Amino acid sequence: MNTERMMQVCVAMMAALATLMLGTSQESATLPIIGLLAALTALFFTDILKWFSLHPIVAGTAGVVAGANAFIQSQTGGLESQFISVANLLIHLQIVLLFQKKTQRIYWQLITLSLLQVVVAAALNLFVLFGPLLILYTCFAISALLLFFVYRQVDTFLVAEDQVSMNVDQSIQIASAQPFGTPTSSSAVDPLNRPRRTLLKASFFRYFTLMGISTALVSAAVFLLMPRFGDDAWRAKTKSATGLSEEEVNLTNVSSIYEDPSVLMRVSFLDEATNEPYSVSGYPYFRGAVHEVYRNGKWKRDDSGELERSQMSRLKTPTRIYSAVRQQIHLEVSRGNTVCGVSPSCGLNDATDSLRMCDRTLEVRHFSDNSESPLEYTVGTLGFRNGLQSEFLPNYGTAKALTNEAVTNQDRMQEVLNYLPALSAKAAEIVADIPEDQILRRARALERHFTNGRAGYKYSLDPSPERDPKRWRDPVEDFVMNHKTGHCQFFASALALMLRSQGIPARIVVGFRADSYNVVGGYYQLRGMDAHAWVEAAIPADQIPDDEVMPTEGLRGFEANGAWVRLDPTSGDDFVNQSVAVSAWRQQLSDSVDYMQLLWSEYVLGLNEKRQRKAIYEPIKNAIKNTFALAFSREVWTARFEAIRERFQGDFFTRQNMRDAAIAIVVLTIAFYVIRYAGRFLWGWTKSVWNRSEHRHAPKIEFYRRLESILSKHGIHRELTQTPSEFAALAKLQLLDRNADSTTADIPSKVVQHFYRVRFGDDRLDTNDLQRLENWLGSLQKSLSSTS
Amino acid sequence: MNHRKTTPRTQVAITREGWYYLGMLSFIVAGAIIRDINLLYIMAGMMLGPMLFSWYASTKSLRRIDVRRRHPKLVSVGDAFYVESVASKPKNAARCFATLVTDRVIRHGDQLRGAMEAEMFFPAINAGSSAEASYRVSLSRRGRYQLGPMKVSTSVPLGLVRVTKTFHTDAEVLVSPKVGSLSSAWTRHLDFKNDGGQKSARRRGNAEGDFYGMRDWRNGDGRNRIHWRTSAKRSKLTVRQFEQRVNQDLVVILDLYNPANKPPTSTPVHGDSNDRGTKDRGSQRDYLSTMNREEIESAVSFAATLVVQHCRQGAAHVVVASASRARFKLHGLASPVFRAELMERLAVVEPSQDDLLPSTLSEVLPLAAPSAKIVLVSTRDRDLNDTQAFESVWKNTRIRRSLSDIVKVNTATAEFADWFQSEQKQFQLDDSANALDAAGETPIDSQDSQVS
Repeated sequence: MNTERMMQVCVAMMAALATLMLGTSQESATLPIIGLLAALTALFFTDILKWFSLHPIVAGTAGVVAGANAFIQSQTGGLESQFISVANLLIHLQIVLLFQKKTQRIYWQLITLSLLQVVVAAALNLFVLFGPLLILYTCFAISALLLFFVYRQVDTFLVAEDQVSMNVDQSIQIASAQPFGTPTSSSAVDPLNRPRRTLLKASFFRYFTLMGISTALVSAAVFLLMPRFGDDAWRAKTKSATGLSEEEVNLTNVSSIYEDPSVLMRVSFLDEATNEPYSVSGYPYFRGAVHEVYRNGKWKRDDSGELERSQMSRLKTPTRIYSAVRQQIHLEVSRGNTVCGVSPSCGLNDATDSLRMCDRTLEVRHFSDNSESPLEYTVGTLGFRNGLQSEFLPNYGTAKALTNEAVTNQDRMQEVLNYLPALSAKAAEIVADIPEDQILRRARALERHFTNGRAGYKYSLDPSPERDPKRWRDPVEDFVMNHKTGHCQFFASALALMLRSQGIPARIVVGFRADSYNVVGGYYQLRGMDAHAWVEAAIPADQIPDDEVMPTEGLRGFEANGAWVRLDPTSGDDFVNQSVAVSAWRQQLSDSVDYMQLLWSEYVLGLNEKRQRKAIYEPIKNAIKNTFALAFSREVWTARFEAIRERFQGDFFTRQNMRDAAIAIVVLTIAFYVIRYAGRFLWGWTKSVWNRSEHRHAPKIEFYRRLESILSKHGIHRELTQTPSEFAALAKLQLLDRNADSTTADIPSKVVQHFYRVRFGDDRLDTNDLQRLENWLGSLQKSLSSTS
Repeated sequence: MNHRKTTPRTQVAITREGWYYLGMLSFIVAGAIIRDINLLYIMAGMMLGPMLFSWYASTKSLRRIDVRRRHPKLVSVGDAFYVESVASKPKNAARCFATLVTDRVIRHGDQLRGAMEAEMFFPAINAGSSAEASYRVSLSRRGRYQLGPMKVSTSVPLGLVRVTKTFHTDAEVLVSPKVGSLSSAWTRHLDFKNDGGQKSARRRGNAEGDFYGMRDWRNGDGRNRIHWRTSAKRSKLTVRQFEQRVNQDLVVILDLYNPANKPPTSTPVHGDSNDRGTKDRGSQRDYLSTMNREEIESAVSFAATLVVQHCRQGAAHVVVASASRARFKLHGLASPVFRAELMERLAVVEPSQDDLLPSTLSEVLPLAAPSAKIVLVSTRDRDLNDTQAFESVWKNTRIRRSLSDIVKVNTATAEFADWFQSEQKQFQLDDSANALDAAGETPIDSQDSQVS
């Protein structure tokens, strides 16, 4: 394959990759396919087979049309639309260029356009796939630039080879005889394309490798060390996360629920005592918003979600902090300020300060300013015992709050009885055999009603076709008494209202039920489709089973308040089967990709000023500081020498001594060469600076330059081959020809004499000399001006 | 090879493509900083890496490179010659790639715009080896030409940064006048002049030297040289050759007079600046039109041809003097060395605006042997009997008789074309070139030398 063909392939690949990157950023498959097809078609039919190519006028017209189209598109939408229209314009222009006959200009334009596409894609792209694509693109870009260089350099000569050039008066004619250098030992004359091949063969792989390494190093250095100025690294907005709303639970909505597979949150657990990953059995529940008020098919928060920071308390830190499990929460997108996590949350020494907890609902909220970017929180939890999540949550309410709550619960029970009589009757029927004081048993019985499958409930994300809103005004009553088909919110609502009808305080909790653990990254990934709703029912302290340990370690004093028990009525077979079984390797691959995405988001996209300072600058600063401290510490060196002395006192030829000696020799050799190289470089640099006598004398001989400049302005030029003295003599003659007086005509000679004194005699001019020179040059200037 | 070597100076410059590249890089860096887009920081690094590497690779590629030039020192007008460049790298140096060697050719006294550059490209030069390339030059004006400085540059590997090393190698090429051919008419004319003169009744035969051999008769050979007996035997005219022609001394006086050979000044005559420009151009044209450079070149070429032919015959004494701007007087035995020395002098001889012929004659004629042929080559018809103009000659009784022996050759006359045939037209008249040439006129002291 010849150089140009290789370059055409590289440029086509660059174009295709750039379009692919732009396409992935827009989550569109159309553009990459069009770009790839255009690149391949142009490569085969325009570049290789040369069947057709666009005429420049046609190409220009197509470019104008593409520009006009982009302009019209950009007028119809907002900023995002404008951005996308620019991206599309770049792709369209690229396609037009691909089908043109390739010249050096076209190649440059193609390379530039593809680069611009990558820039736009970089601003839009969030996916980890962008990284490998960028590396691939860089490889092709370097190859294309290397080949293009060879192509340009050699082609220039091939074109000019047969030309004879002449100077202005045609007295000098120059023609290429043997324009390409050949080894002196070789007598063979190279064919025309040999230089290109020679250059390519000798330099391509060497430079490709070296440039690849240097590019990687410089990129890493720039990325890590270039100071960031903002607290928040920019990233394109993602689509708003679907799942359950934290503001309300609306059961009147009859549309299907879309299962969003995108990851909204990642949570990893660490044992606070050992700082090792904490292994959790089963599917942990991550509590989010707590809804307590039910009206007309809608659940809402009791406080309408308007609790202020001051009304919430700091996270309580347990006395024995090592019993807690550390939760590291990475929130991709948050629409509200509720932080999902395993309850009950507790404080840690380095827990995020901006978190506050509501004592009554145990809901945790964040109060940081930023809600767009991924948020990260560190918070403890007391919800685990031996790897199992406790079903019981403490009630941190004060005595007064509990009293108020009792009144409220009474009202809520009455409300359900009045408003939902059928549902209440059904609940009463279910628990008819259980004594009223056995609250936990009654609650469990109601939960089993939904989960044991005998009642005919069916889990579905689609609205049931058998809904009968005319007969059953309330959607929950319709669900229980009529169609028995719905998603977790229907199940949770039904159970909560049934519990309330039996005088058991209940609330529904919206959060996540995690069933996807990333083995590679060691975290749970919570996707939109993992959103879940369940019920919490209040039970008195005396009904907590003996084998259940209240997760209030170190938070004594709240046991008497009873507990909230978690009841999940949606745990039917249909719901469990929602998780699709995948093969192990696919799961491994999926976990790896997700983990890389996490790292990409966290350490590449999310590197901001704070993180950079913490992760890069401070360690470097500390390392330098420590190195200096160690290098100049007398105690350290004494100890080292002492250790060496002790080591060599015994048997010298031990394995360890030999290994250390080998390492020392290697290190010293490297250090020697580094110092030698640095020394040579510094010496060479110093010498070159010192040797620049022209520059050293530059300020001192400025007057001579002025003389040349003045004379040159008036048509007296110094020729290349003239010495300053000869020039002065010629200038004198010419000045005399212009009727200048002899004093003026002598000025160039006088100035040159001074110039020689300074330049070659290394003499210094005193103030009088300088003043005299100034006067001479001034009068020369004046004289020449008046003459002309 | 003739060059004086100094330490090469290295310059690093960003190419035009490099500036475009930097523009893109700046755009990306600005975007990264303004919007805090981390991916753009990575892209900036990915663009900066190749840029820095280009600078490093280009600098390293030219480190310890050496370039030398091979070329003839003396060439004739219009003759093509080759200039070879040999680039080499020492054994322990890095290889260099895509090296461009640029050599400059400029005539002494010309301004830079009259210079020409030749380029040679070395794809790769390995450590411890050398490579060579060459270019062909043809110089159509007599004079002293400077080769160099040589610039060695590379922008490997991407063409973004160009590193240039300038080797200040001062090399010269002298371009001597073209040697033409003298016709038999000239020989007859010369012989006639000598035979008809008072002192020219020389005896031929043994007086011409020792017998050397016989050869075929050629056009221009005198009848008295024919060896009739041998001619009869061979049925072919055969002449005798003599080894030494002791009486064939030659004196050539080159009179290059051009009163208008004075550089036009840019002094305004009157009027505004536009008028001044017009006047300047006009005066240049006038000046150039009066200057018959072609005739001057013919005169120089004729003189060179005369001496070269005489040197071929050998052993004679030759005196050449020029009444020109840089006067010279050269005398010695006709030999290749003499010829070479003369060619160097004639390469740079220029017409003078002063009439130097009388003084030259008074200096040269005393050197002429009584039997020497004296040829005055001039671009004008000068009356040597003008006692006033040639007062110094006429006053000297020793030399004034020689005036009548002088064979005058006026290149402006029609008969000159019959005597002398230049092989090619030596000079294309060009106004601007002449103007440039004239601007560089500097009086040079007369030189006197003897070559033996």
